[in-house]
Amino acid sequence: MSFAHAAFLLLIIPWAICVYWRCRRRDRQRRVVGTLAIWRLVAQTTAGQIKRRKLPLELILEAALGLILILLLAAPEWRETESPQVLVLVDSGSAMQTPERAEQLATWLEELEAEHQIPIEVRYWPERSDSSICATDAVLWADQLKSLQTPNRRVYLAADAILDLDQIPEAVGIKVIEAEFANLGITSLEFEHGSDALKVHVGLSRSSSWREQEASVLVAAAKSGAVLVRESLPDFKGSRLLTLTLKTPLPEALQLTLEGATGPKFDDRVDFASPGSDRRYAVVDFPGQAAWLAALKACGRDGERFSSGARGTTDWVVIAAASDEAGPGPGIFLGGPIVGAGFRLQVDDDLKSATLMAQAEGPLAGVVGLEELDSKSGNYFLVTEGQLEVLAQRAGRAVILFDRAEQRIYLADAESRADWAESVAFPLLVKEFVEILTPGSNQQPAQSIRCSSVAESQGGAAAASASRPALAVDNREISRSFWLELAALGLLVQGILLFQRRKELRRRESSPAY
Amino acid sequence: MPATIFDAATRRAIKAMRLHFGRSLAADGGSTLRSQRVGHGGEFHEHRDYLQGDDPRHIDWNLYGRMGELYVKRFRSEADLELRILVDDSESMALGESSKRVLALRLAATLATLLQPMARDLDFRILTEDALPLAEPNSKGLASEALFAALEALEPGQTACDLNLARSFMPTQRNRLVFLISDFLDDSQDLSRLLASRSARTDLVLVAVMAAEELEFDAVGLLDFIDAETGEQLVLAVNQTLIDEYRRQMAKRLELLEGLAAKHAASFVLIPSHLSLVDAFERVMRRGGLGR
Repeated sequence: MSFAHAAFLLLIIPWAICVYWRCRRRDRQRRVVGTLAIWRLVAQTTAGQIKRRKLPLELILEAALGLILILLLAAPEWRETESPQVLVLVDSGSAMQTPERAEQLATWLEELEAEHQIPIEVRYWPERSDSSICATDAVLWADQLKSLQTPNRRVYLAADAILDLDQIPEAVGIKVIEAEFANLGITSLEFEHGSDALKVHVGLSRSSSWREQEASVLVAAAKSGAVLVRESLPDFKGSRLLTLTLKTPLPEALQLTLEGATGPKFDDRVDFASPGSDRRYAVVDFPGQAAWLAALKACGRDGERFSSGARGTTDWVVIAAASDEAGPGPGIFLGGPIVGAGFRLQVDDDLKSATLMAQAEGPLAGVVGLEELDSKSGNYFLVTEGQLEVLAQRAGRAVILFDRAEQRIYLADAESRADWAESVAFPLLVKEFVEILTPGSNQQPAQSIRCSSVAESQGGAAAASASRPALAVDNREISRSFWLELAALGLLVQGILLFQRRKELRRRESSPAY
Repeated sequence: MPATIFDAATRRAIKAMRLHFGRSLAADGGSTLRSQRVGHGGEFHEHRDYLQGDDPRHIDWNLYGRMGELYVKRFRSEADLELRILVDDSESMALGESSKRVLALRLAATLATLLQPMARDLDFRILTEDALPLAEPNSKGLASEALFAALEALEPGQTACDLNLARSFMPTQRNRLVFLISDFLDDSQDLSRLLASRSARTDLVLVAVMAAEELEFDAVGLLDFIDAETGEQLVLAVNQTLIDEYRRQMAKRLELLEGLAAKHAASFVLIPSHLSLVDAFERVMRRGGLGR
């Protein structure tokens, strides 16, 4: 049994004192007498006849009521059937998957198991197969960890140091498997179209232990590897936005890479399509927390808490597409990190239905009559049996779909190549934030397309580690306000009754003795 | 501060009693107080059985010749008396719904007021370690008002009663009438020694003022008894069995006190504190064998 508000158990101490005091005094009436001699004689004479007075029922009930009220205030939770658990949440980002860190992790897990003497559950988060979109977002980590915590479960986190560990709740025993050379990573991308150039705003973040003075960011053609632009990184602390200017036209596929000057080459790389100026979609004002909550509600995921990005920024990938043309067209899969896989949204000739296609595996979803779709209504519609829902359409065609099973958003991008390797991902996208532009027009999005990468840089592995004490911190909200109020009221009433009783006793005692 | 002991009604009652009692004594033929102690000289009063320790000179040998049994003669001696009134004003006297202390002080003052004209001397004392003479032994005519004021000014419960202290007033070569007003809750051995110490010329009237609650205790439950004088505590779960036993013990104690008094030719008068002053005075006079 555990208690949600164990601090209230401290009330047991004054309660015990009160009960002891009441047992001692009970409702004794004071009687002042001229001499005790006669009463002593009476006591001696009747020693065998005086029955030891048992605790009065009233006192027993009163003490029991007090104890129950205190326990109610402490909000007990019975978890007798659950054995203690140890859960290790492992950052599944690429930086954690180097052989060195994997070895460190394995060693540490063995030590942890030996320490706790119970099997340890290990979970990767996000799933190992995913791109670690949130790997750099400690706020999301914190939310995830909070959701995993129970009074009976100790949660450890194994992550690399690029996480802002201060955001992690202290209840989590944090195991930091930190890079020897610290980390430098790409955290966001933002495109800005000019007349003859494309400005790429690259968000960079470095860990506090970063000492590498010479590093550079380069953009190269994905296929040929030809370097289009290279920019040396200035020395900076924390985060910095770096702008690269690319002259158009550009290759269709680009790679953004971080490179060290002398040390090992970083494998932090972002692949992205060359964003044409004639894109017909954009995403603006990517949601803040409130919008996220609304979106999650719309998707039936009430109660989940997500952050809209690290500390309120909107460094999320949003790329969408729309097509006026019927027939098969290329699409991009923005929700999953299946490297090398491509998707397309198959729009039927009659423009009545659409199918999300995986390039290699065929259709993923069924067909639905698009006439049913209406983005203006704000509702989404089922595309297949409970799997896909259309969140937005243009010209009668689905352009944004939500895969309920995978909790992913699919967007159709007519202009993207079918084999465009995914590089960006996001957990959810809500149509309100997608601005559909007129195809072929010069309409500019209200705000630049923003892109963020979750790719992590990594240096050589090292055994630097740190851990925080695993303190039991209860993150549960007070969900029993009614019972709490009831218990508080009960205590108040009991206090008043006790006061009244004392008053009555005093009144009696103050009356003439005998 | 308004008088609480000697209020107007009490004063009126005392005044009325003085008038009535004065006439009564006058009609009785004497202005002097008669005592019933056995003495030589004075008016024959009665015979009583001879008790061990009685002076053989008082044995009525004529009666022995006729009856074959020893009797002693008792006389009403003309009381060229010293009057002493000793009042216990200890903590225990303040108890009782009808305060024992109030009645005791009123009664003592009444006795002093009414009997003083018939006594040669009056000595009025609160019985404490520092016995406070409210009137010098030889002073004549202590004014009632002065006595009332002095008694009224007494702080209740400021003294501790010790019957041993009263013993110093018992030996005397002169005829002396002593009223000892107390609740007599002290050790009966003290009383026994007190009685034994008195001289043959001392008439002693023990006036036991008891609260009704002391005589007829009836509270039940868990009671925390506190000794008014020592502060000692005794917790008892009082039921009817204990109440019955208490009453039995109290009755036994009263019998003991009465027996002790009789044994030493003293008078014992029990005055429940709820009695009126007039009733209390009359009971003292009647049971104490004073006046006719």
